[in-house]
Amino acid sequence: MRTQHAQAATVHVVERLTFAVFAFCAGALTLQAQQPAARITKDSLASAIGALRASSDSAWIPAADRFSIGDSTVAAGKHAAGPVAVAGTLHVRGIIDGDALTYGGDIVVHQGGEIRGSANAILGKIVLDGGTVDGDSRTLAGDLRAVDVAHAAVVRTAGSATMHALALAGGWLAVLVIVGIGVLIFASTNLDAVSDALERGFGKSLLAGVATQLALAPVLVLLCIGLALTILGVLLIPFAIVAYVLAAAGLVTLGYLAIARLVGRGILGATEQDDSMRRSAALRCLVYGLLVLMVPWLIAGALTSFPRAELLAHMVAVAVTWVAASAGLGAAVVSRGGVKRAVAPAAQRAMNTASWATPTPVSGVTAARRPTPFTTPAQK
Amino acid sequence: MRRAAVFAAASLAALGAAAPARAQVWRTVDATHQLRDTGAVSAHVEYAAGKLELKPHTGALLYHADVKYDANRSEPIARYDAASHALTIGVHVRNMRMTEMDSDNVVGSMHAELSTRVPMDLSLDLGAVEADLQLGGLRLTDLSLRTGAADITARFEQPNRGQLRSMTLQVGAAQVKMMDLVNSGVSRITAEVGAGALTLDFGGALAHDVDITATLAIGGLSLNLSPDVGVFVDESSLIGGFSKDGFVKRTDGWYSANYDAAPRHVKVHLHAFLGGLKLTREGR
Repeated sequence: MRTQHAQAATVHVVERLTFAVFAFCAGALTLQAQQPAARITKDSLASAIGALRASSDSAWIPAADRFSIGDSTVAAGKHAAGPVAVAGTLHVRGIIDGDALTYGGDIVVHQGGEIRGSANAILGKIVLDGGTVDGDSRTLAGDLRAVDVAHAAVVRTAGSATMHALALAGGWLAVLVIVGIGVLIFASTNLDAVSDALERGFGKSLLAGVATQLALAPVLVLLCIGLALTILGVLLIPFAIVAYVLAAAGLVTLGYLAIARLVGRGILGATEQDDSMRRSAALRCLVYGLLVLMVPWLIAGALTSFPRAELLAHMVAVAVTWVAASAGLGAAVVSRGGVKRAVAPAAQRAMNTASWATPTPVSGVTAARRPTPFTTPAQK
Repeated sequence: MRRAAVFAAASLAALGAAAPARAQVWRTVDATHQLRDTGAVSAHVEYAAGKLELKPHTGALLYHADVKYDANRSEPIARYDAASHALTIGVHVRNMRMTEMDSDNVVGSMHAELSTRVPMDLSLDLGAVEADLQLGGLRLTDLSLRTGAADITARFEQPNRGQLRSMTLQVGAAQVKMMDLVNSGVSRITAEVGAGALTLDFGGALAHDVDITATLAIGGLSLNLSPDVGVFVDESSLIGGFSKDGFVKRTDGWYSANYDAAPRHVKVHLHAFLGGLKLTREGR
C-alpha cells in the first residue's frame, strides 16, 4: 500500500515537474512573443518611445514619462482625462476624455466603455468588446527602430561629410575617366583636333570659350523663336532644346578632356610613338590630367571639417575647373567640335614644296603646271 | 596602363560609395473609424508611390486603411475630422528619390475601404501608383482623380448609390481606365490628359445623357459607348482630333448618324493639341 502511495507520489512529482518544465518553456515562448510587454522597464520604454518619437509618423506619441508600466483599467463609471498612455494592456470600462495609447499591449473597450479621442496601440491591437471609440483607431507594428529622416539628409558628422565630399569628387573623376576612354576609342581624331587648337592658342580658346558661354542662352532663345515661326517648328522646339543642351554639354566635355590630356602630357612628357604606344600614352596622359584637374576638388573635400579652408579650396577648384572648361569649350568651338583640324603654315609650306619637288606626277594638271624650263614655250 | 585601370576601378568604387542605398524601415498601420452618423463626408485619398487597392466597406466603419510603408521615406495619414466631416487617408512621401519610385522593393502598399453608407465627395491624388479602385457600391456624389505616372483601373461593377454629379480626371503620364461608367450615374466629366491615356468605358445602357469636356495635350482619350448612344463632338484641335467616319457635320459640330434617333446622348467637347479621341462602340 505504501509502495503504491510512494509510486503515486513519484508519478505526481514527475507530472508536476513535467508540467513545470512545459509551463516554463511556454512562459519563455510567450515572453519572447510578447517581448515589448513582458520586458518593459522604464529605461527600455524610454528608449523605445524616444526612437518612435524621432519619426515624424509617430510624433503624436507622448513622452515615455507619460506612460504607466503594466496593465491598467479604467473602471466602469469612472472618467479618466486623456491621454491615457499605458505600457501594457488597457481595459476601458469607463470613459476616457481624450486619447488612449498602449505600447506592447492591447486596448480593450468593454461594454459601456468609451474613448472620446483616438485609440492607438503600438505593437498591440484594439478590441471593441461592446464599447466605442469616437476618434480614429490605429495600430502600429513592424520595424520600430528609430528613423532619422529629417536629419539624415542634412546633418552629417564631420568624418562622414568629408568622406561624402571625397567620394563625390572621386565619383566625378571616375565618370570623366570612363567618358574619356569612350572618347579616345570613338572620337580620338576630334580630341586630337581640339588639343591642337588648345596648343595653338590657349588664350584664344579661353576667349572663345567665354564668348560661347555668353552666347549660349541668346542663341537658344533665337533658335526657339526661329522655330516658332512655323507650326512644324513649334513641334520641334522641345527636341531642339534637348539637342542644343546635349551639344553644348558634349563640347564642354570634349574640351575638358582635351585640356586634361594636355595637362597629363605636360606632366608625363609623353612623345609621339608608334600607334599602339600612342594610344596607351594618350590614355595615361588623360587619366593623369583628369586627376590633376580634380586635385583641387579632392583637397576641398578633405578640408570639409575646416569651413574657411574648405571655402578657399572650393573657390580655387571652381576657378580651375571654370578656366579649364572654358578654354576647352572655346577650343572645341574653334575646331568645330574637332571636325576642322588646322594645319600649321610651316608644315603646309613644306608639304607644298615637297609635292612640287617630287618627280612622280608626269601627266595631268599637276604635271602640266610643273614649272620646268623645258616645257615653258617662252624659254624655249 | 595597369595603374590607370586600378585607378579607374578605385574611382568607380568611390562612385558607388557616393550613392549609398538607404535602409528601409517597414511599418504597418491599420486604421479604422467607427461610423457614428451618415452625414456627407469629404474623403481625400493621397498616395504617392506603391500599390493601392480601394473598395467599398459595407460594415459599420467609415473607413479602414491597412498601410505598409517605409518609415524612412514616407508616413501614413489616416484622419477623420468629425467637425468638418473630412477624411484623409494615404501615405505621404517625404524623402523618396525619383529613381526609387518605380522600384518594387521600396514601395509599400495600401488597402483601403470606404463606407457604402455615407454620401461621399471622393478625391484621389495618386503619384507613381499601381491602383485598383473598386468604386461601385459607394455613395459617391463627386469624384476627382489626379494622377502622375500611374497605372490605374477604376471600376463601377456595382451601381453607385449616390447621385454622382461630376467627375474630374487629371491624367498626367498615366494610364487610367474608368470602367463600367454607366453604373456610376455620372452626368458630367471633365478630363485633362497630359501625356497619358484615358479610357472612359460606357459600355451598357446609359440612364441619362452625359457631357464630356476633354482637353488633350499629347495624350489620348478612348471612349467606349454602346452602339445605340448618339454622339456629338465639338472639336477644337491643332493636330489631334478624331476620326469622322460615321459622323455628319452640322453647324455646331459633328453628329453621329444615329444622333437624332438615339434615346441617350453623349456630348464631347474636345480640345486637342496633339492628342486624339478614339471612339469605339461595344455594348454589353
